[in-house]
Amino acid sequence: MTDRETLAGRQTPAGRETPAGDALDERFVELLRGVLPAAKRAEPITPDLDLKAAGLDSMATIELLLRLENAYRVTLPDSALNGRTFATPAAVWSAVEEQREA
Amino acid sequence: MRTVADDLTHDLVHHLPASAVAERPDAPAVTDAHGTWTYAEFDARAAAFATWLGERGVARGDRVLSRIGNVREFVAMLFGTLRHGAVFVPIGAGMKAYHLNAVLDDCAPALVVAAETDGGVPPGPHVHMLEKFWPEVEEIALGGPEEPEPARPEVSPDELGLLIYTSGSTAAPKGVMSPHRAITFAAAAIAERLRYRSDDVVLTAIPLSFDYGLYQVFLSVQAGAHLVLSGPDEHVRLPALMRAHGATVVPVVPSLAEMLIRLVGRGSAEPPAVRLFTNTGAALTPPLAARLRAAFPTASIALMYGTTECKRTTIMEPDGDLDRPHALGRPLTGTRVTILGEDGRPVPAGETGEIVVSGPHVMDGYWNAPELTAERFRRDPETGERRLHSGDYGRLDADGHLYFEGRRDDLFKRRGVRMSCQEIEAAAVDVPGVEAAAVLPPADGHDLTVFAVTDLPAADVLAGLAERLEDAKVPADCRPVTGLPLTPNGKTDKRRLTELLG
Repeated sequence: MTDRETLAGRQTPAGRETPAGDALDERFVELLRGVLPAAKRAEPITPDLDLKAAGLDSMATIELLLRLENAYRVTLPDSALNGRTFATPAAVWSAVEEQREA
Repeated sequence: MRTVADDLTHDLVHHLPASAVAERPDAPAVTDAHGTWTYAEFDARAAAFATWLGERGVARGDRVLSRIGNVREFVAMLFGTLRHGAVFVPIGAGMKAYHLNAVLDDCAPALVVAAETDGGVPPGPHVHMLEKFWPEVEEIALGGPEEPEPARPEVSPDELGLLIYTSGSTAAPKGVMSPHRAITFAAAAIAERLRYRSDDVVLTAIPLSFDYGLYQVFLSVQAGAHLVLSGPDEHVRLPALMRAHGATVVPVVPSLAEMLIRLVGRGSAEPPAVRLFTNTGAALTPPLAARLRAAFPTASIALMYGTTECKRTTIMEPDGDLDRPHALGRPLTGTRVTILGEDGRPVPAGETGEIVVSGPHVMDGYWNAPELTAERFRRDPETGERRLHSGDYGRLDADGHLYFEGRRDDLFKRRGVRMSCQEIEAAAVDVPGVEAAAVLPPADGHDLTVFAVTDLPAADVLAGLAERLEDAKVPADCRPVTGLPLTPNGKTDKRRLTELLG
């Protein structure tokens, strides 16, 4: 199962917190928007947005990791700390979800 | 008394790994995300790359431009190029086409190596994708000694080994001509202070295209140490990487130090047992240094200062900053720092003036830029010695420690990256719809800001700049204006612009 499919599963009305029709958790989107550079903030945050192209550099990635871990009270394992996890909002969200469910 | 010259066993850069290759062929030389090469394996690939270059018609003195990240192949290509007698030109993957095209025109490389994922390099018969051709180099390397390396006349220490592009007070980056003798001298003189050991594991997360990263290669191989390379995608897992490889030496710029402190604070695991952090590029402030020490209790910190034009100027002995806050150490052994006043004459200790550097580490000048070279690299009117007028201002204390105070031109650093207002302003007016622009460097109360005379929305100007400049050079803020305020003599009134921000 790909990360996108995982996310698509979360978009169903049966999803626990994600409201129907909304692609991504709103708090998550705000959190993500907060770490992207001002120049790119106007762009809509879609699940498959190329985060690197949207300005998520290494410092912003770490900022995002810390904010996510704090907001969702999770700790991402070392194995999840790589470029793939931070490639798209869907992939990031999926890594967070994995820990919330664990 | 021993001098650096006594320790200088090699005056050709590609001879630096010779001792390690001969004495410890099975010791790990370089590791990246894909694996490790021993010194013997690394050496075979450097030789193979030299052969491969020859097969492609690259001649002595030709430029070989490399635009790949922090990977093992970079190290083999670096030494292979130098073995072949060619000049290595490392360029960061973050450089956008706007500057890259200027660099390609400037150095006219005979061969370019890029990563397959890199769409920024214009294709051409001399452009080779690393992933495509590297198997050919491996094949030559594995072919082993049956195919003896072609005999080539050895280069002289006065010939160029590297062209390192760096920002100046010009629109496009310029190449610092680095001859073998100056590089090997600098590497030996830095080693005399920092003492990298054969049991060190040197974690290099700063880009190899930046001379601070590049010299980690020279320092590691001459000590026979283990160089571990890490790219920006891996910053988020640096503590895990440091633990996995047992990193003992870690060069940092402030942003990297900040990342390490924050990452180490996440978990409950013991911090990695680093013995030495070095810093240059941008100053580690005393509060940041204190937090780094608290996060890594086993580590010392060595502060350094320098500029690509002479590589390294001063090094503070490890933890010397605790006794002398803000000091950047003494000049490298065998070199001198003179502080010149407005009248061009040396000023006494304690007084501020331009930092002027002399010694065997002073590079040869700028490629294709004789005027700029004459401006920065001048003869001492009394001794005739070539001296680098760094453009940096500072002072020496009574014991010869250097303190940096700032610059009086428009060059500055942000996130450890050297840049100038002029290059950002030039990139801004290159954006269609921008008539004029003025840039304010980061200062108290504001980050890097561009004022643009344009009808475009701010976001469009910033997006245009992001297409043209490395990320660190893209302003945090853009203020579209109808005109730029001028001083009575017609220059942009930057004081007035600063007031507009307040």
